[in-house]
Order: sequence, then C-alpha cells, then structure tokens
Amino acid sequence: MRLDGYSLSAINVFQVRTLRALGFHARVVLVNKSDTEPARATSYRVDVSVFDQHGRLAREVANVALLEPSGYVQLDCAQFVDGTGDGDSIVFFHMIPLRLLRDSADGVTTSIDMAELMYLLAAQDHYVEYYDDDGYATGVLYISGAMNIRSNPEKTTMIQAPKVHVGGELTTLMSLMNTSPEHDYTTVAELACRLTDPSGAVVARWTEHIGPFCSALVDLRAKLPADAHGAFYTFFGLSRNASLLPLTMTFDRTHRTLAVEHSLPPTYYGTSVKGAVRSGVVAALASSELFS
Amino acid sequence: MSLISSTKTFVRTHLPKPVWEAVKVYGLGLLEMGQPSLQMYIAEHGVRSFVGMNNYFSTLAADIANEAVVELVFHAADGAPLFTHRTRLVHFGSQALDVTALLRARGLDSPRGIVTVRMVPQRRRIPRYQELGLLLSQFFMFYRDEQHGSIAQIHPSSQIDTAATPSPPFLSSQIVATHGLDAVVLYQCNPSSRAHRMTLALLDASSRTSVVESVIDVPALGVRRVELAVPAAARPPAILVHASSLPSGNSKPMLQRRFSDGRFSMSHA
Repeated sequence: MRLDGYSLSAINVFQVRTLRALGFHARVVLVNKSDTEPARATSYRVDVSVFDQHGRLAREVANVALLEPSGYVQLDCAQFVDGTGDGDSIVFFHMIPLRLLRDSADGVTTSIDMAELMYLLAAQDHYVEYYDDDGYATGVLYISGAMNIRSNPEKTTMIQAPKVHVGGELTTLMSLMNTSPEHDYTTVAELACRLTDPSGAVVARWTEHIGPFCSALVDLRAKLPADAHGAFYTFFGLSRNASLLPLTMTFDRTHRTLAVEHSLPPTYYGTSVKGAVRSGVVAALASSELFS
Repeated sequence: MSLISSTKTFVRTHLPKPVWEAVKVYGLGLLEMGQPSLQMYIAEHGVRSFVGMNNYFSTLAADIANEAVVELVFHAADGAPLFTHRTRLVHFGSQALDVTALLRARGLDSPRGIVTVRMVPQRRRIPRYQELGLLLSQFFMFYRDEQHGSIAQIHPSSQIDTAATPSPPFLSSQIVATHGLDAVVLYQCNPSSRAHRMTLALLDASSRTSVVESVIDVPALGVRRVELAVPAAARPPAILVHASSLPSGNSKPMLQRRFSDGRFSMSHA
C-alpha cells in the first residue's frame, strides 16, 4: 500500500514529556539504525516542536542535529522548553529522512510505501531519560510513531498495566500524552480509567480528559479509596476517541528514584489484535463489567 | 468416545512425546500459544523481584468470563530448573508474586535466574480466542531495593527459544552518562538451549573504543551478572553498552546504573 502526501515530519517522530512535576530534567537519545538494511539507509535531519502545558505550540526549531546511519544524538530538552512556562511540555523530535526529502516535490510531504514507513519506524528504539543534578538517571526505550493522524482511522487506546505498586514512600503515576503530528488536531481525549485489586474487583473508576498536545500525570495512589490497604493493583484504560501514549512511572518520593516503563500494545498479547479484530476487542471491553 | 478424546488417543499413541506434552498443555491445537515469556529475577544485594501479571484473556475477550491458568518455572543462575509454581487468575484478576518469598518458602537461595511464565485460559475451546492470533504471556517484573529506595519495572524481552541462533553484535540505544556513576551492572540471560559465550563491553560514546569489558559464558536458561566499574582515570563523560552477540535475537541485557550513593536504576539495554 502506498501513502501519498504523507508528512515527512511524521515518518519517524519521537514524542516525550518533560517531568518538572517530579523535579526531574529530561533528555533523549535518538538513534539511527536505518542501515540495518543498507538499501534503506538514510540520514535524518532532526527538527523539534514544543507544546506547553496548555497544549499550545510554543516553539519550533529546525535542523537541531544531523543523525547519520548508525549514529546517536543526545539532546537535552532544557534547551527547547526553557521559557515555555513552568508546567510540563511535550517535545516532538521529528526525524526527517533526507533520502526521501531529496525526492519530495514540496519539501514537506512524500509518497511512501507502507512497508518502508514501518521499516523506518521500527528500525530503532529511542530513549528518554529523566535525571537529577546528582547524576541519578533513569529512563525507557520506546517507539512512539505518529498518532491520531487523519489517514489512520484507528484512534483508540487500550491499557492493561499490572504494575501499580504503592505503599510506604512509593506511588505509581500514569503519564498520558495526547498528540498528533498534525498541528490542527483538536480532539480532547477521553480515557475511562479503572483500578482493580488482585481479585478483579474495581476499587476506583474515573475519567481523564486530556486536551490536544497535552500530557497528564495521574497519581494512582491518590485514586485509591481511603481504606485500601493493598500494595499492588492493575490499571486499565480505554479510550474510543484518541490514541494515547501511556507510560507508567513508579516513584519513591523519599529517595527520589523512578521506574519508567512503556505499555505493551494489544498485538504483543495477541498478534492479530489489529484492524477489525481490535475494534471487536475494544467494543467488548467497553461494554464489559469493567467499563460499563 | 468423543471426537476429541479419540483424537487425543491417536495423538498419544502415534505422535512423538513432545507433541503429546504440548497437547496436554494447550488442548487440541485450537489455540495458537507462543512459547513462555521470560524475565530475570534478582534476589541479591537487597533486591526483591515481583512478577506482575494479569489475566489478559479478560482484556482481549472481555465478555467471556474465564480463568487464566498460570505456570511459572524458576531456574537457577546456571539454568537448572528450581521449581514450578502454579496459580490461577480470575476474570480480570491479577497478582504480583514475590520471588524472594517463593524461594524462602522452599528453602532455596538463588541470587538470580530466569522465570518463565505461561498463561493458558482454563476453557480453551472458545472460537473467539482463535481470532486473537498467536497468544503470548506478557507480564512485568518489578524490582525493589528498600534500603536505598531503588526501583525498576521491566517487561520481558524474550520467549523461550530452543532453536535460537546468536544475534549479530548489539549496541544499546542508551547513552549512559558517567556523572555520579559508580558502575554498570549487566544482567544477561540466555533463552536458548545451548550455552553462549559473549563479550560485554562499555565503549567510550565518542570514540566507540572499549573502556572495560568482560567475557562471559551464559548457560542455557542461565543468567550471568557482570559488574563493570568505570575507570576513574580517563573516564569518558558518556558510555555505550556493547555485546559481541546476544544468545537470541532480542535477549538484551538488563542495564543497571549503580550510583555512588548506593541507589540504582535499571532498564533493558
């Protein structure tokens, strides 16, 4: 399948949130492993766009780095977010494939085969790291890709996260990003949230509304009822109007340590849970005892 | 005699034992089950490991109330099987199993090793499950050192893969800053059925030359811990983790940054 008019800045995009709310700085490592298949190797020009805590486009910077095949680039987010407000921002790192840019008629879009798009996206992980001035650093590798684009009708989110650890100094937060490479994206994501105990009983239910280009950081411990004594819960999330980027963040406030982990998409559990099968799974989940 | 029991009798009497063993576990092929997923547990240096898992069949087929039958097999660092723990997850149920408690309950002292997890729905012959494709038993391992407050959460990177072939050289996508860093500890597992020799190295991120390295032999289904202290002399500001080859395609090491104040952070490399 060929995609015409596909935005060059949406082919390989890494989206991260800053974490001022917990007092951490943020930096990323961008990696170019496109030369795993030499015929598909490309260099990337790295462009950056920043959205402030209110979801407003605060800054765009072109050509902040050149990412060669087999190359690494480390960039600190401070240089892009300083002066954009006190809250947490979302930073997009757009990796523009120069091989495709050369053949682009308008310098903005390209015609790309789906197989090549998936190859360029999946050829590498990128790394976001949260760090303190004393050197403590922690992070996670993930692929985010372009979400909530018009050409992709799939705009849902399913989260199953058996990784909510609480108690003592410990809490677990759910970070949620609502993004799109299309700057006129306006959807306010609605995410139905549930916390269950090991018996499967729902102990907390609420709905998160996340504005376009905004991030949420939900303290799951604060959502538990006052009489909850367990140390372990499972978070479920379901959105039928947006694709969100979730990260689980377990945080020890006393020792200032942080465990960041991405979620696993449904295809990691059942390899055919995409397209119509995924739609059926989402519909059944939405009407289930958990979410109804 | 039903068609199913007739077929089972045929399979038991005419097919090799491994096939019959698979039928006993998975039923008559109505479900496409992947190999068990695995992750490393740590029960040393004050670290406890918790296997966090949920009944994912509930999420993928929410209108079908069904239990998940879970089998966890724990291996020692040398790959030898230690014990099997079986449990069940109710519909939408979950558990966080404390590995240290499981070891202590059996009088075992195993500082590190592999745990494999296989989840199978109690009722398997449900056509809806077949639409889900190959089913993989995902879970999350939570690590905690209460003395220093260190925590980590890491998903499995591998399944048991008896036919695995070693990977090409591996270079982690992380750049490790050395400010405040005492050492890098790498935990390497081997999901394959044969021993694997490899060199783990820290490279200067700028020159990509080796700063320190170690050759290890990782037994089949075993785990090796390698501590690589960053030399104080000529200490580069940033380093990369390199492996000459991995035991299987995606069996990347767990990368533990150990800081000078005793805390650590950890993720897959």
